[in-house]
Amino acid sequence: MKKSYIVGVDIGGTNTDAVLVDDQKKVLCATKTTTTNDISIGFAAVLKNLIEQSAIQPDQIHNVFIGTTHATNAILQKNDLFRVGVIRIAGQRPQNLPVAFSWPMGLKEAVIGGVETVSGGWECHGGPLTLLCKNEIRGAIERLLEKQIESIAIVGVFSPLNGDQEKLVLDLIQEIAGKDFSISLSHEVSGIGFIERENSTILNASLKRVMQQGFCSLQAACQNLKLTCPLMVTQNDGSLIDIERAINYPVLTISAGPTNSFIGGARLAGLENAIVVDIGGTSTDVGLVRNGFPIRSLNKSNIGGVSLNFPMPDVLSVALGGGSIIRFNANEPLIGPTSVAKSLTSRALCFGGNELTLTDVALVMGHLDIKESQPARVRIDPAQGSAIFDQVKQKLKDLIIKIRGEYKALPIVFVGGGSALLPSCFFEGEYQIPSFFNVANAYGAALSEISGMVDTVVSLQNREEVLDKLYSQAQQKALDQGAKAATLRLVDQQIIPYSYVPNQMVRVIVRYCGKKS
Amino acid sequence: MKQLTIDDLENLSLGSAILGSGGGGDPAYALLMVKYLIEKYGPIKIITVDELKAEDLIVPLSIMGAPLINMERLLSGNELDILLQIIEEKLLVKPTVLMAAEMGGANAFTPLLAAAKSGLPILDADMIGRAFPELQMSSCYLKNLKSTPAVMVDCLGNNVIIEATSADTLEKIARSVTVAMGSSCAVGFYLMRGSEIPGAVVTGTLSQAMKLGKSITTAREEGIDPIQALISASDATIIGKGTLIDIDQTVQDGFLQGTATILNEEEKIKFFYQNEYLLAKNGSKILASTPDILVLLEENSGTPLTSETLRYGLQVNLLALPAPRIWQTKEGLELVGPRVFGYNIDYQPISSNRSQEVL
Repeated sequence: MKKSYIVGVDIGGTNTDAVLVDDQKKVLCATKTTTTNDISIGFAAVLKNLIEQSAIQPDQIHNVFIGTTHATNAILQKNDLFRVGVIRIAGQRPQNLPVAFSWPMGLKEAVIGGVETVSGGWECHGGPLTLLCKNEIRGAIERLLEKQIESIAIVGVFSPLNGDQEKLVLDLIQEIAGKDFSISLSHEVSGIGFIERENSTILNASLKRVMQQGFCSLQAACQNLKLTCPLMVTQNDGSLIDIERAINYPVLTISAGPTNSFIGGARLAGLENAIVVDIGGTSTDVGLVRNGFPIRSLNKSNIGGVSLNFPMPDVLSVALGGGSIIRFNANEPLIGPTSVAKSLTSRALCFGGNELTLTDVALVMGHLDIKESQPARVRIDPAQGSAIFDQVKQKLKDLIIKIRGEYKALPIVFVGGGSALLPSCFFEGEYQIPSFFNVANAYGAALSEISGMVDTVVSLQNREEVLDKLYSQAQQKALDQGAKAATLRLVDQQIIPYSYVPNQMVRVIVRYCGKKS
Repeated sequence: MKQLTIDDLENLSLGSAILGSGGGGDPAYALLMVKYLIEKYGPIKIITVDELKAEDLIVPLSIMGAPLINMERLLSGNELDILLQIIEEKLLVKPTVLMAAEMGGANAFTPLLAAAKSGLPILDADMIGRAFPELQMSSCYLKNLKSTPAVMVDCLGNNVIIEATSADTLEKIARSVTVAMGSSCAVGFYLMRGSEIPGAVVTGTLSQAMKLGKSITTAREEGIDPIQALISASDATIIGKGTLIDIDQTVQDGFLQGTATILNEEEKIKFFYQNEYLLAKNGSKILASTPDILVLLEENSGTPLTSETLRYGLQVNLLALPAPRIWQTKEGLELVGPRVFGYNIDYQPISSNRSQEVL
């Protein structure tokens, strides 16, 4: 039997990276190109490159896993977004917090086409807040359709506890506007937290056309290259969804970047537990990976000025990267926070520019060698060079000490293009810069698994019975997405008690992960 | 008379979270609602106790129940209007001034929701000077004022007027009503006249909250350490800093009870909370306790953390602010001291530790 392979691709704002891995998750080759406006061109180029480099047959690629910032870019550029009608199912009819209230004005104007509030919603203990009224809902739908909206977002109070009311509104819309009308249900998109879930659902509704085009163009690129395998997309928590689900729920793919880079970094180093330091051109991100997954952040995620409630990895950042500009205060070097960023090869001294960057210092110190560079243009003595790298070390160390807490023995993994600038024997203790460090994102995508998550409110009076039920729900969701049953495992569980509420009501978040079958 | 504008809201949000001592709920949604109302109706009037007239009727307001409920079942925005209307039409007295029942977390914003819409002024004061979990834990209780009639209204407009024989009984009845109202409702209680105010409220707490918050927002703008700025701008003392580990919490009798540890090198500081942070210890040594105000802040941003958001691995500083003087008295400690919350220790004021250090 022929060997089978997985391709991992990271389509970022600047670069499109890709890796080819075998069924043991070993990297065979990697490539990098500039991200194109039509994302499928860069995507096709890296796929083609991998196939040529490795000389494998396209049908030996059994999976292509993609992480992309395409949805984020579409929102930032307000590119081809649907005009959305919003239906709040909220019997209390909240008047002081309008839809999209804290959004940036331009985005709000581009996206919000109309808002209706109808009777309904649930209480935290599961009973109805108020009852639905079909005629009222029909009226609301017709008023929205008159406003020429192209997609509808439905958001009900406590709908993560029970999606029935949202589904009933969906049925009524399909009755009136036809089966193909674009609809997003909030309980399918995210969990507890009305405003953030509403924001996520509206963005999801608005992204449907542009992301459908984007994802379909990637599918077409695969077909042109005779790749017949399914395309899967990494979502915010680093797990996979199939392309149909990604088209229906594009907002779920909005922020997979840091998660992929931390998971990829740890595994490039062959570790399940590690501190991953991702040194880019402008900044360095540090994250902690435990049992293969990054620890989660307290902060709400925010995309283009809109707050969302997707789990984000805990990231500590410092403005330090390969393009960081270095200045001197008396004899004391100051690194960053400004950076030449993408224009390193025109503005850095060693490439004929006028700015002293960290890359210049690393070249002079002999930490690396870049063809076409002119280290001779950089006038800096070795003592100053050492002082600068002592500072780099101190800055990274501060972040590492902060993020690791009591896990003092955790090994450190450096990834990202900027890791090439580090001297050998940089850190005391266990650390490494693994091979393929500059495509950790794409490798993270290649490693992705399938997950099933439940985020709801329950009474824990029959604790084990209730938790078992939630576990099976989460497992079923993962299986429905194509996870292999034997590989399923609980990767995340949070129980957040509701104070002042009887019957031990708690918010429970459980997440199972398993390998793609 | 001063005015409260949209520019004050971020400061109040941070400051009320500081005084909330981990309780009172996240003010994020309440802030957005007040911002919306000020945009619509204009700034809110703030008056001091000196500006009160003897015949003024002051209504302390708060949202009772689980703060997390309001993050899903948003307030309708009518609760407080109905509450004031009931006072006027059923109790036959006309509210003229509104006040926060507790200057902690989201509840610092509660009276602002009603003030923006009704045009009534807000009194720069509250009944606690921080957040505490029960209705009778109030300065008015120490002054022997009458806690009822109390009015409770939920988001659908359901309402109850309670007459109770004591504030402790009011707490019990109101707690049951809150549950029947979906575990969150608006409550107005300890209605009082301007003539009763002297000694019955903790004064200046709205300004204090905004000042504490402003020290943090200003520091952030200027790129200096927000926690140091907060310490310089207040009587706060730093008790410990490090990484948050070992978070253990349950709900008992309606209260979120928990412990967490702050690890710094080898040193471990353990703190205890029941919605609010109540006690901090290093081994057997007591570092601070209720009624002093324990504040947990995220290290880099200086953002105060509510007890509902504690997470493993957070970088935190634990600070203590001295309690309002009324709570440091014998009567005050009998109402809100460590023993009331089940900690078998004597209260040692953080302020005296600090002045000893100075000496």
